[in-house]
This record gives sequence, structure tokens and C-alpha cells, in this order.
Amino acid sequence: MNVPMTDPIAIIGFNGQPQVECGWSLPIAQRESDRTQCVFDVAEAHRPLRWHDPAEVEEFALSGRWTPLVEPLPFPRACCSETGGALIAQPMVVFAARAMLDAADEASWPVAFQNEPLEWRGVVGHPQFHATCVPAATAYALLGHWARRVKTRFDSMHNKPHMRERRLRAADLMLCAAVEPSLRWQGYLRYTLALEPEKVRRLFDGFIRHEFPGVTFDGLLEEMTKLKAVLDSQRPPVVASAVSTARSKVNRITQRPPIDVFEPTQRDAA
Amino acid sequence: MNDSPPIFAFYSFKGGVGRSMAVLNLAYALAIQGQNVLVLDMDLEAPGLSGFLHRKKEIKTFAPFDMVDLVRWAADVVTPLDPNELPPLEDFTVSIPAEKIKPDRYFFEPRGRLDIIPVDEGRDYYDRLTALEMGNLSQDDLVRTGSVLRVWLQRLRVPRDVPDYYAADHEQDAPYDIILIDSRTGITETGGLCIGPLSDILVVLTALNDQNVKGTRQFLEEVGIRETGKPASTRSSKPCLIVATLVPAGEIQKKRQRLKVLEEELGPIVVRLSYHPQLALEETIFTRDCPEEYLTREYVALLEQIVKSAHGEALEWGPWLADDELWPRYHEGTRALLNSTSLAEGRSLLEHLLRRRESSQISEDEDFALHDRAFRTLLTAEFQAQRWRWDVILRLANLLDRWQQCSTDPERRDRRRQAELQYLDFVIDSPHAPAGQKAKALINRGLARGEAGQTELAIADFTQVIEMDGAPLQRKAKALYNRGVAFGEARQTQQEVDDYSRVIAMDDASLDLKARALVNRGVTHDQEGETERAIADYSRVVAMEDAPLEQRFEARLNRGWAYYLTDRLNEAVDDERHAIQLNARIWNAHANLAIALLVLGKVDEALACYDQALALAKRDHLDEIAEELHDAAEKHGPLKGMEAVREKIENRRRQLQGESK
Repeated sequence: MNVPMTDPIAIIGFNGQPQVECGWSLPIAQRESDRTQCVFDVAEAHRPLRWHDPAEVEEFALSGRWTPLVEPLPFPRACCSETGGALIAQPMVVFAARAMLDAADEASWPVAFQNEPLEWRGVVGHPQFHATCVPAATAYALLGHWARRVKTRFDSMHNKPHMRERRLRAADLMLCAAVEPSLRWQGYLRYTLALEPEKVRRLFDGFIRHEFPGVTFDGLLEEMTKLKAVLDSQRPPVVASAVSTARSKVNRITQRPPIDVFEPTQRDAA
Repeated sequence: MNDSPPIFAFYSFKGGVGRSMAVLNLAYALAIQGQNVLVLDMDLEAPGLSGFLHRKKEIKTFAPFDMVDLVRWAADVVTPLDPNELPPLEDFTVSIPAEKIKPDRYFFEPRGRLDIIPVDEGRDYYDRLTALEMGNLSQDDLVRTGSVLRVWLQRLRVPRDVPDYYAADHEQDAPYDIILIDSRTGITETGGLCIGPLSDILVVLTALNDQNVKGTRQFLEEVGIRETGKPASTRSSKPCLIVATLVPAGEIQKKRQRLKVLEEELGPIVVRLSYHPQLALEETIFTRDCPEEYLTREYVALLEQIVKSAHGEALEWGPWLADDELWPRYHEGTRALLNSTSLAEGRSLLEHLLRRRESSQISEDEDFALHDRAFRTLLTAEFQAQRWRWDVILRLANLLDRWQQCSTDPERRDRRRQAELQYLDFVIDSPHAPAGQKAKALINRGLARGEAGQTELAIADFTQVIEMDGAPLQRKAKALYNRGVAFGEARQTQQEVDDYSRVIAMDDASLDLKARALVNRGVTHDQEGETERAIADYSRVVAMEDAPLEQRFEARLNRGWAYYLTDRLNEAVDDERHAIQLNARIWNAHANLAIALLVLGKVDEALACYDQALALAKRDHLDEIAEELHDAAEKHGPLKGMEAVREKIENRRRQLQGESK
């Protein structure tokens, strides 16, 4: 790629609209020099960037072709060479709703991922959503990371019959996050396991068959059965150990002094 | 001094004893007093406090994350923590709007802040709660999680309510003043988290029945507050306040028995909270909405116990007040006492401390700001204890007057003056202020207006005092004197002289004021060409042996000059010599003596006096000295030594020019 970066630019939105709880999209960049904006797609080196004036930009935003951010994001430094003079990676915007964050067991918007600092901004017209901009590889990995965490959550709920609705929701969110084909396949398998049996065929015909043309309906059923057997064999989640009751855990707890959480402990070192 | 906010955990073994409402009532009472308070709803499984605030529209919405998310973060975060990557406060807290805390706030009352970290039951609550898996946390995990939460809470900073007349670089934020945790009932991991290293002091609420008392006793033993089998009074590692709740009204024998049992089992009860029928129908923030109710008084008593247990060491400042070594620790003591003003003892100590420092001793912005805050805090606390402290308001106005005089930034100076006038107006306009305090405020406002060039308004203020029924005669005398000065500024000589004459004739005017009036009347006579009347006034002051030194100096200086102008040169020399004996640091006494001696032909003595005068004189004074020399030469012909004097004046002028470069 090695495209020279001559003008300072900021990321002020992303292409398209958020239709599901999370996803990735090409960033909308703004040149600081003349404030023109474009869909920042440099993966195809032969296709030059097309910069638009403010009137066109407003029209794109109003028609929903572009989604603006509440505040601009800085251009990700990891997309530029160390000297800052050349573009070495395609930046991508990752957007997600808070529900996705909860499902992925993130307590707050992550401040870093794979040593890449993450900055999050609100999304205009979508108060539940936040967005960040990172190199495409990081975006791909972050979405995969979330999908795997939701998958773990789904699996932990497998043996809890009263949680069928939540399992369905988790599988849905997993499919929103998963970009990698193998993860998407795992997502579909879990979705079908949580779905009412009579709806599985419709899902296969409507979605799975198109995304995985080599898979037959019988093949899907076989894979579902295998996965169910694996999940069934899981031990039910531990709620509390038999020897460690709440009563024993609070024993003399008022006499325990605070630990220095800014210093490494033996457990941390291990 | 430890700046971290004290963290209180409120625990009850059984529900329904009024724990959450006690937390809220205390939180509102503290915020009404101007404190910055944070409440954590850690009754995660039954978050009544959050629900109450939301239903009552005390909070309109939730933050992006809540208490469940915060515990989750603390339990999951990798240690050692990076201090720069702690989650921001605003992600979790919701603020109670200021108008809900105290709708009718006086302008001087510091605005308290009340923030809540609630539990949001509307957002995937059960999923998030299940995912916490509190049951899987070991005691070490609870200690670690509590320690993480503790440092997060201790490092929080929130905006302070700082008046606009403070210096631009004054510290704009500070830690919370106090943190209150509403804990889980029973014996649970969440309860263990609250009462472990997270909190500093435990407040245990219990009803009088056997289930409550026995259960609480067992709990206190298990968590290490009480030693099994030892008397309840045995000291424990963590301070613990026992509060009896739902105490029925009346002198019932059974009640007395149960209270006795409670004290035997749990230790001394610090406060009894009565059963209030209204609580059975509707939860109420008594401390805000029903200040006259008996339960409010009991909550205030609990608040005092809380403050005492958190800031009790501040009360140890008593002995320091009489100590000569007070000054190095004066500021520390003042700051320490700021958090104790809900206690009568704390207010009294703070007032004593503030009395030991005069406004005139203060010159630094930071020092002014501390005193301003201390006065306002004291005033608010006294007001909330149903006492109007007009004297404190006037001392605060004096402080602001002094502060504006020391200000270099014109905008800040103006704001400080406006603030001073606001306090004075408050006293003047109040129907409750005593006449003496009103008269004092009017005089001070008149002086401030006079300084601002609003002479007519100043005269109106002084006149109001003079005509006020019930104003002390000494204040009336002061008003008359100051109105005389203002008339002088307005060139209304007759009224000026009349006012001074009334002061001089008043039995109740102080000697100091009479001497000032005489000197001023003398000066006015002098300016009107009535030199003999002027000399008579000055002479009366000269004869007043007990008059202040400053007035006697002025009288000698002015009478000497009057003698000089009327060619009584020996008398002039005598008076100026006396003036110099009284104050040798004033240039014109030396200059007056010098010209009189020169005219008398005592050149050497005159030149020596000129040396003294010129050494003290500023550039503007040199012109005056030269002018008098010129006038003397015109009146008496060429004087011996004149040229030498002129040369000295020019040398001094060159010297001052050199210094200014």
C-alpha cells in the first residue's frame, strides 16, 4: 500500500448506517486543510480517493449513506509508517452498541486491544452506539475477540433451560460480531440450537445456504447434534464451592487491610 | 493530613430496618450542608435505593454503566493497576440536581454535590448480575476487589463550588468529602465486599427484636468486629457505630428491656432512630422535606456521630488554640475543622481559630480563599443550626474588603467588591438583623461606596445610620464622622464642619473619633482661610494626652504649618520637632521644620532637616518642597542656603530617576 500521507486528516464518521449491534465499516476522513471529506478506502491502490465538498457531504449524511460521529477520532497512528509519512494499513471503523459490550463481558469501552490504544466516540443519531478507528487487521481481530467471548457466554448458558431467550440473543450478537467464516459457522450452529426446531429450516434456506453453499440441511443437523453433545457434556457452572460458603468467606474480613493494588502481588506475578 | 474521603458502609443483618433511607437521609443532609457526597448502592441483589430515586424522579436517567459494572470491573481488572487507566467517574455516577438538594439556598451557602452510583435494573440487569458470579469469589478475591474499588473511590475528584471572585488558578476540583455505601443484608459475598477493606467505618443498623439482635451479634462476631464470648465493649479493628432503628415511641417497659439487651449484645447505641408511621406508607427524605419532624432530628444526631467518627481528630485542635505554636499549623487546623461544622464543638473551635487571625494579617490569595470558605461554612452551619450570625457575615464582608484591596487583577477586585456589597446588603435588607449590626453594615457600605466615588450614595448610607432608631450612639458618631469626610469630598464644607462639630460634642463618641474630627475640622478651617480656628482645633488635640499618637502627630504637624504660614516661626519649629518625635518617618514634618529653620536663618540645621525630608520623599514630594521654597523666597526675599537646598532637591530627583530606570 505505502500511500504518501501529505495532509493531516481526522475520522469524522463511517460509511453506511449501523443496522445491527456491531460491525465494521470504511471510515469517512476529513482533510484539515480544506475540510473536504471522503470514504477512506485505500485498499485498492489504483482507485484514487474521491474528496467531496461540504454540500455533498451533508447530502450523504442526510440520506443515510454516511454516519457522522459526535466528535472526530484521530487518524490511527498504527496505519502510518513510523516516520508518519506513508499510509501502511487500511483504517476501519468498528462500531458497537452497549448491548454488545455487555454480552462480550466488557465492563466498559476497552481502552486498548492488542497493544493498540482505542478511543471511542458517540455516533450521531444512535445514542446506544460508540465507534473507534483502528487498522483493518485490529478491527477484524477485535470483532473476532468479542464473538468468541459471546460464544463462551452462550456455552455457559447451555445447561440452563430458562435462559433460551438469552442464548438466542447471545447467538444473534455473536453473528453480528463474527467476520471470520469459521466463527460465523459456529455462530449459526449456536443460533439454530437456541431456535425453536420448526424455524431451523427457514434459517437454513434464508441465510446459511447462501453463506455456506457447500453445506446441506442434513449436514447442518448433524453438526448441530455434535455440538449439542459437546455442550451437554459440560459440567454445570460452579456457583459456589461446597467448602467455601459466603459465611466462611466473610470470616474476619473486617480485619483484612487493603492491599496495594498498584504493586504486583504474588498472584499477579504467577 | 489524609485527604482521602472517609468511606462508611451501612449494614443491617435483616432488611426493612430503614438502612437505605438512613443512607439517603444522611446523604441529603450532608449535601445540604455543602459537602460533596457519593452514595454507592451496593445492595446489588435488591437495589431499593436506586429504585426509590428513579421512581421519585430524583434522578432522571442512568449513566452508561452502573454499580454492577463497577464491581465487575474491580473484580476482573488486572493488577497491578495502571493509575492512568482507571475508568472515569462520569461513566458510573448520576448527580442529584442541585435544586432538588436545596431549593432555597442562600447565596453564601456552599453548593453541595450528591452523586449516586446506582444499579440500573432496566439494562440486562439479571444477565449482568449473574455474570458477576459473586459466589465464585474467594475471600482473597473480595479483599482484592474491595481494595481496587477503594483506591478508585479515593482518587476521584469532583468540581468544587468555587465563587467567581476566587483567583483564576484556584483549585477547581477536590475529592469527595464523604462516601456512603448501602450494603447488602445477611451474610453474603456482596456484604463481605462492602465491610471488608473497601470501607473505613461500619454503621450497623438493627431493630430491637430478637431475630435482628441475635443475627447482628453473630454477624459482628463472624466478620471480626466482636470477639466471640468477649464483652460487646471490646475494641475492634474497624470502628463500628451501632444504631437502633424502628424504636417505638413512648416509655414502654418492653422497649427499655430490648434496648438494654441490644447494648449488652452489640455495644453502646450511638443513636436511636424512631419508628415513623409515614415510612410504612411512603419512603421520605425527612432531612430535606420535613426538617421539623422528630426523625429528622434523629438523623441529624446520627450525622453528628458520623462526622465525629470521621473527623474526630479535628476536635483535638482545642488545646492548640491557646498554644504559641499554633501559627505553623493554623491552616491545617482550619481545613481540618471545615468538615466538623455540623458539630457545635467543631463550629466553636473554628470560630475561635478564625478570631485569632485578623483580616489585616492576610495578604495571599490562597489564604483569603481558605478564610472565605471557612467563614461561609461556619455561617451555613450556624444558620442550619437555627442561628443567624450577623457578626460572622460582617467579618466575612471585611475579609472581602481586604481581599479586594490586595487584588492586582481589576476584574477579580471588582467581583470581590461586589461580593462584599452583597453581604452588606443582606444584613441591611434583612428584617431580622439587629440595629447595631445594620448600622455597622451601612457604615461599611458607605465607606465602600465612598471609595468607589459614589459620594452621594455613601452620604445616604451614613445618614440612614444617623437617623436610625436603636442604632448605638457610638455607631452614630462613626457615621457622622464618615459623613463629614464624604461631605468634604463633595465640597459641602458647611455640612462637613457641622458633622465634625456634632461628633466633637457627643459624649458617646470615642476619644479617637473626636481627635480625628478635630483634626479634620482644623484642616477644613485652614482651607477656608480660618487659620486661628484651625489652630484652636489642633491645639485641643495636642492637649488631649490620651488621644491616639497618629492624631497627635497630625495635630502637631498641621498646627506647625499653620504657625509657619502666620510667621510664628519659633512655634512652628517647636510643633514640627514634636511631630518628628511622634513619627520620624513622615517626610513633610522634616520639610516643614526645614523651611521654618531656613527662614529663621538657621541654615545648617535647615540643611540637615532637608536631608532627612529628601531621603523620605518620593518624586512628587520634591515638587512640593521646591514650591514651598519658592513661595518662601517670594515672601521673605532671597534666603541664605536656598541654592544648596535646590541642589539637594535636584540631586535627589536624579537619584530617584536612576532608581526607576
